[in-house]
Amino acid sequence: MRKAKGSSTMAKPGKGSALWVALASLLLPGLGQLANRQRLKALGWFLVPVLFLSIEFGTSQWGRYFALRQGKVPPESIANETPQAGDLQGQEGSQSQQADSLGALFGDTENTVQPAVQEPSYDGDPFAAAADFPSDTGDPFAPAEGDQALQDAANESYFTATYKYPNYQPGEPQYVVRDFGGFFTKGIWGLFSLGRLVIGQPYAGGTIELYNKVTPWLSADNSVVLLGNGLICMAVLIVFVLLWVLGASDAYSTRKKIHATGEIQSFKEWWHTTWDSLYVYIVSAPSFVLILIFTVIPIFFTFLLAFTNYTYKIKLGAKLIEWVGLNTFKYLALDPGWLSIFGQIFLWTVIWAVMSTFSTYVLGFFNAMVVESPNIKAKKAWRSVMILPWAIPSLVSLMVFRNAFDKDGLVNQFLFASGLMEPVTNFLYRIGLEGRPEQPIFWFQPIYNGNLARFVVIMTNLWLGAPYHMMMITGILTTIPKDLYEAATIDGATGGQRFRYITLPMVLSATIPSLIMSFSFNFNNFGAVYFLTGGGPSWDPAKVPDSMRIVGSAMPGQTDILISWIYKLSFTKGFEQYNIAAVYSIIIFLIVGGFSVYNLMRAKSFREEAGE
Amino acid sequence: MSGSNVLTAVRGKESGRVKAKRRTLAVFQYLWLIVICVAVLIPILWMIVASFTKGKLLSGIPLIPNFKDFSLEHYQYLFSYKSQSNAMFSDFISAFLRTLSVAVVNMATVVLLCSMSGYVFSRFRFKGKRTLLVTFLLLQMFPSFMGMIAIFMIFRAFGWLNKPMYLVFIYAAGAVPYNTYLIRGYMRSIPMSIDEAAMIDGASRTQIYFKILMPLAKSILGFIAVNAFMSPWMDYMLPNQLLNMQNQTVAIFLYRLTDSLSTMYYNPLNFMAGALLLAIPITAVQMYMQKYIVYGMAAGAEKG
Repeated sequence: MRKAKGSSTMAKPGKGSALWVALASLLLPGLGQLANRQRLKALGWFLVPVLFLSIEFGTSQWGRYFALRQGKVPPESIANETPQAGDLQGQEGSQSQQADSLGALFGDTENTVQPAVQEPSYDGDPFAAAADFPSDTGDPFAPAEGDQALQDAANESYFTATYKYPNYQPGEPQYVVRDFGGFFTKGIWGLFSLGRLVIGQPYAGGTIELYNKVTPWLSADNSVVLLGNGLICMAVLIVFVLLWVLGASDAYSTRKKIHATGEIQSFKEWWHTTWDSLYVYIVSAPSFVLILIFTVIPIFFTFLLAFTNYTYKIKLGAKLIEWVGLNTFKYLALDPGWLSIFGQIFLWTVIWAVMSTFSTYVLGFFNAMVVESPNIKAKKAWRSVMILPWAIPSLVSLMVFRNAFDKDGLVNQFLFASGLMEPVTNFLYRIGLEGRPEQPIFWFQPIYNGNLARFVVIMTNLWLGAPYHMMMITGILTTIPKDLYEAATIDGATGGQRFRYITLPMVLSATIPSLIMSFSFNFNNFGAVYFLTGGGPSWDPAKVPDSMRIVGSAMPGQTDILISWIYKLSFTKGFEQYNIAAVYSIIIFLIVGGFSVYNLMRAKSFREEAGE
Repeated sequence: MSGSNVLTAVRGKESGRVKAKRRTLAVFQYLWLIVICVAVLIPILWMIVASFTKGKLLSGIPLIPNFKDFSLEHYQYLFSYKSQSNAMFSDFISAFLRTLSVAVVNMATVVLLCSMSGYVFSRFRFKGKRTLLVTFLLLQMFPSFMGMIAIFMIFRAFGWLNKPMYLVFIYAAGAVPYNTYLIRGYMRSIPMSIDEAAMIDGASRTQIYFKILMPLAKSILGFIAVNAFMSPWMDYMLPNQLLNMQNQTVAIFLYRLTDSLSTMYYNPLNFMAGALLLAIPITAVQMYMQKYIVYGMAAGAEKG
């Protein structure tokens, strides 16, 4: 520690001076620390804006832009039409006309005659050329390995040797940020505009094409890429803003401390305590980074898609995505066709989630009770067989069932062989599950068998899901103290009473969290539907509203739950409805997320944390 | 269990009527168990029989095993069919090995990442802890394929498309939030005094974790490891979107065999053989690790 030698850099340490230091740090990180006479720390914080600016300028062409504005660019390096890497040499002719108009733009009208060869090091090797021409992020000076000629070129002024410039036409739009911007400026521009130029549009003296490596500004804007880059840029920006604010608050608190104690913390000390508190962040940083890139950014991306008009109709590069605000939400909420289909699917999703959770729970409970009953010998053997459906990968068993319920599958074969086909099909017809009493039974295909397919989906899930609850409940049954039962038996309680007043409440209270969890799991149980029925049978075409027809083969089936329909909406080739899928994703997220937050809030460990 | 020692104690005094009642109950219980076991086993038996039946029609599968139709052709197909003639292994084997390697790497990654973040969340106080915990919980509610378009873009930007190993990043990112909760819940039950004693003896925080806490948390880490090992085998959507057919995982390979739209490969009996070959090792692992899994499921339910 050393004594503060007064505050020579600042005004007399008055009451407001801590605030001034913080403001100085906000203006430029490090400034406040400097005012606090902590030079090393100031240097550290000063790296923040340096890093920020070097990211922006390292990825941009702003230097070239300023050179262009100041007229330092010789006209021969203005791009013409759409040069291909291969035929650069045959372009001198057309160049003169273009340079003319650009000359007008920059007040440089005399220059109409062009030197014939613009790149002395060029021997017509298209690949060498492509390697040397910078892409929008590339370093123009990076020499191609072992290529002496190109290195020479790089040593020359790059204005003349390697770089072409957009040939802005007067009176036409110029997207300067798009053409020259760096990571941050271009990212934000892309996020807000989602691109401006598509294939075939004339721009900067050329025509936009899908991809142009030599003159990147003549590449068409890809809205999805711009949206994604914009999101990544925003994430990085937020980190910088946080650092910025942290710098200010650090300066503020240091100054306060200086006021209080009159001593300045040495850099060593500060580093020691900071390193201590940074440990947690460093250790968990890999997880956070992974989550940020592969979970958070994709989620925000999907959220943002809900506010665009992105569907299969937009071929990227040829058409731009646009921000449409809440239009998609409005459309889905007001269009009776979509609303009714959504209502039916939502209803079935809820029924499915409740029924599948409830049925597996009850069967699992019952099985656990039976196996654990004192009458049963060789409990372990029974249990091992009964948990087989849980141990077999569900993907495999679902697809086996898909085959078993085929027209020629196990179930129909069995019904035929045992002579039960007729009574069963009549029975199914009578109770309304089957639309027509057919032999064999078509379990998943015809539109009139929707209810039958739904029933089969739930029953199959029962086969798959009951063992899970059985295992859970078996575990809980063993923890119920035996003296409870003893006391009850001595008091004359019957078996039913013992179950009703001891077993049931004990098991229920212990399994309610897992019930809620399995409800939200089943709500999104994509596999149970998609691998078994593929969503089928389809809806009656006569009942499908006209406004739904745009989804083509992404039409939901009668067993589709929300999540599998979203999958179809997003990934049916040729009929993608990304914006609608995104809106439904948000709805699912709100429902399931709400459910699990509720579940968490009532969990004991979390309440303790809150009280900490 | 339910009070069996009492009941055996009481049993001596049971009257004949009660005894008879108990016996009928036992009969019904055994009947029920038999019904359940038959229901469990029949589809499995059907799968086994189908995999050894010749032909490619479901209707050709006998309900009762019939040795006239016995054939190993489906296994031969799985072990010999190569879509590329220069491949070292058959399509099925290479898909299997590919998935296996992804599963192993995924297991290691997930256990390491989750245990580190679980350690941090259980043992330290820091700014933003509560917010992060709630965020974690919300994130895990969002199925990973909903961000599929963005994930696809990220993979394309990094040049990771058709490279199965990079799927681990997505699986790990998806597994961290929930598992962090689990480990955190578990580690809170390990007394802090153990840490403190080690700290006094001069152990660093990282050492405390690897040498003391990690061995103590073996059972919950075992659960997480099994889960992480399983996810690449079961996953259909990510590999379907991010990998081409030359780099498929075994799930995609099997799905294609049952997909009647892919006429080149459609053969449900080949599928049955492949499904059996896949199910045997997976089922064995699950049964073997049962103890850990049941423990972890209970813990997961408890900790929310």
